Amino acid sequence: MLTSLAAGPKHGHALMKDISVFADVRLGPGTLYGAISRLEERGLIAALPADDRRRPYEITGEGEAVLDASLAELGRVVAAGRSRLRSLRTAQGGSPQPALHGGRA
Amino acid sequence: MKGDGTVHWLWVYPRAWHKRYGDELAALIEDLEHDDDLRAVDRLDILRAGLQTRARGRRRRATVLATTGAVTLASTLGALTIAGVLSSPPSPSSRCSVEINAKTGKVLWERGDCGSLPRRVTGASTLLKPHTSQGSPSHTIYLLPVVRAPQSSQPSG
Repeated sequence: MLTSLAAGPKHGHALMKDISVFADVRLGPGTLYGAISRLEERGLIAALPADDRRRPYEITGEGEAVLDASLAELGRVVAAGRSRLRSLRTAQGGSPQPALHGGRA
Repeated sequence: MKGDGTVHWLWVYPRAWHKRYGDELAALIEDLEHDDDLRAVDRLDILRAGLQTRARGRRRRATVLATTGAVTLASTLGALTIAGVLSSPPSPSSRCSVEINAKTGKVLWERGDCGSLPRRVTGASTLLKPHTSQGSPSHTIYLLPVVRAPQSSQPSG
């Protein structure tokens, strides 16, 4: 949700559509508004003046910091995963290695 | 799926939450109905999220009540301790013992920190054995301060 709002303020329906496009996840209306209320409570997003009954939300400075930290953490996990996958494929494609130290060839 | 009354399901949310977000969530439901995109799973999602929000509110209230109760109890205990009701008996150095004449009530001698602070006779003092001093029956009585600020005490006699 923070990633979606990083592209600009959105109301509930626009958030739902955007998240389903870039994350391929369709949030239910209850889940979406549960998250909105929690994020607003934590000061990570802020409500803008309502347009009719559709109130847009924007990411706050604190929300940007939290998103930045979360993406950095995800980046580390992704990098570690890619590195290990590469090693695994190299090991599978290369010469067979002993599975255990001290194993007999 | 238009106008099937799903917005009425918002009653499951707590009143305060409904007041703040109810209109927006109703507008979102209407948008989904307008797009023919409101699914059965969305109705369940609304009910589940509403009940979850209600339960979270109850847990928060219970936490607040428990915290308030603990603070009140701690404050009461602190006040009682300061008032000396629950405090442990003062150390011997803060005791004042006097021997009085059982008949006249005259103080024959005093020992310990017998300052001018108001004092009360402890229950233990009644257990002291009477004895004879200077030819008259007398009692040694231990007096304890009613309210005593921390201070270094020195025996006065």
